[in-house]
Amino acid sequence: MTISAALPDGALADPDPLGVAVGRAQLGDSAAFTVVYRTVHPLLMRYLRSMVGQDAEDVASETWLQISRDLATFAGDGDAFRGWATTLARHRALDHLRAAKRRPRAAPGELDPGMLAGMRAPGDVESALLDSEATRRALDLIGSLPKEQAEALLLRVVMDLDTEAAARVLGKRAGAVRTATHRGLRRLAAELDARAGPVPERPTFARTGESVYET
Amino acid sequence: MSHDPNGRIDRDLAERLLRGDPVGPDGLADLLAAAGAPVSTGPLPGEEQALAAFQRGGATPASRPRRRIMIKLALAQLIATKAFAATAAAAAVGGVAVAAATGTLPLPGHDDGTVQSGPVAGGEPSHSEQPSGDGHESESPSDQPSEPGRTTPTTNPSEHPSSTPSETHAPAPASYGDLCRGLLSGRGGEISVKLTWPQYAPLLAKGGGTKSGAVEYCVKLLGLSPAPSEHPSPTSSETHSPSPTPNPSETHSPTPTPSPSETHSPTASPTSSLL
Repeated sequence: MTISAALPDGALADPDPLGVAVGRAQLGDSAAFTVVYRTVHPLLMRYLRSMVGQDAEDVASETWLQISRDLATFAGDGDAFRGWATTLARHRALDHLRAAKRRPRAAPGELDPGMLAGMRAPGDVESALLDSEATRRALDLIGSLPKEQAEALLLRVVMDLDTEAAARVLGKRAGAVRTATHRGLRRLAAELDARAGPVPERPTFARTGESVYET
Repeated sequence: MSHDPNGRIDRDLAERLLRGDPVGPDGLADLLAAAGAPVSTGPLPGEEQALAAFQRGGATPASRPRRRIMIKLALAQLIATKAFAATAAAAAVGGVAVAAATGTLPLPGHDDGTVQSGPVAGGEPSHSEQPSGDGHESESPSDQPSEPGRTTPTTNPSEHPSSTPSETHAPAPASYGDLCRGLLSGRGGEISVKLTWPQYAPLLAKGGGTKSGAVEYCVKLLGLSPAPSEHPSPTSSETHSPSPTPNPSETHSPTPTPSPSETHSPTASPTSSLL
């Protein structure tokens, strides 16, 4: 087909199912929207759990309402959509943290906008539903990093954004994001090294990490 | 394998790790892989709610019939005058409204008349959440389809919006979307000129051999007007007009109820400037 000849090989080998689904959803295709949701929502949940802990589900819900509302104005491919959705989720999360800060809490100091993975209850329903134990352990350890490093890593590794896209989400320069991710990786390596092995099986994993690397 | 975690992860190694290469200190690549592990498919919590919101408002083609007409007029005039790139026309036609209607187009930001003003997806929580958050990433426009990978331009909508996810492996529908975006993006020159290029020949074919037909086809394909009859319009017609500003009104409210008042948008008069 002539159309194929006009495309680079990579476009054929590496289709963009998310981008296609987004495009169809923009045409009003509900099934395509469902594909978009099932592709992106679990990733947003991983990210948001590190941002707002057990309130991630509420924040994700707000995020999706906004995505639904503004989808017609979105322009871009699958990567761009992940970036856009992450931006919306992040803003909703920061709103949420601000609101939470205004409410009386037992430990308001804990509500510094940032990584609150430690607040997450061990039996978190959402994570049990969506993620494997190994994934949760990995996210807990990343969440134990200083928040800039953790968030940069989450955007790169979980949301699968490249450095530039992550920088736009965070409102930082790409170089700053790169530095944060690299520092985060070094810390993770040090932590793993200290544990003398790959991701350990101990359930107290994240807490140990926090005690070692408090921000 | 490095066991000197403070010194051995240099920039190259870090980037390889972040790309998913199994390199570096013990366990680190595994940990990153676990963090980014594929998600299971299947129904998810909140799915029905999100879908309901989607069907209520958002991207229903029926919600913008008026703009469809405008776009057609604008593009027809483009072809007729052979004078303007799509973005310039967007500005001439009233800028904001058309820009929003063509929201699926990766409008370039280099020319005059660009309507994508403002920072892109800034990090300020209370600032604009410009949907075209990745304008920079799609630097390789679709009419230069030579760079696969992360910057691969949008493989978008579907020539066959029959909504079966399993169809997404077929490159052809997406590539038509690419071509259309490339055609209408304003990059590379005038639409009428670009349509003489071999790479856009498939669009000419789709358009019945005429340039205006090709533009018409792309307008439909990219969702600038309702796709013909494949989509039973959702019942809600004008419940929500997709915010026609490229910088959708501060969407920062955590309870994003579609505001009917958005219909006051700059669509009010632009048609007159066309005629």
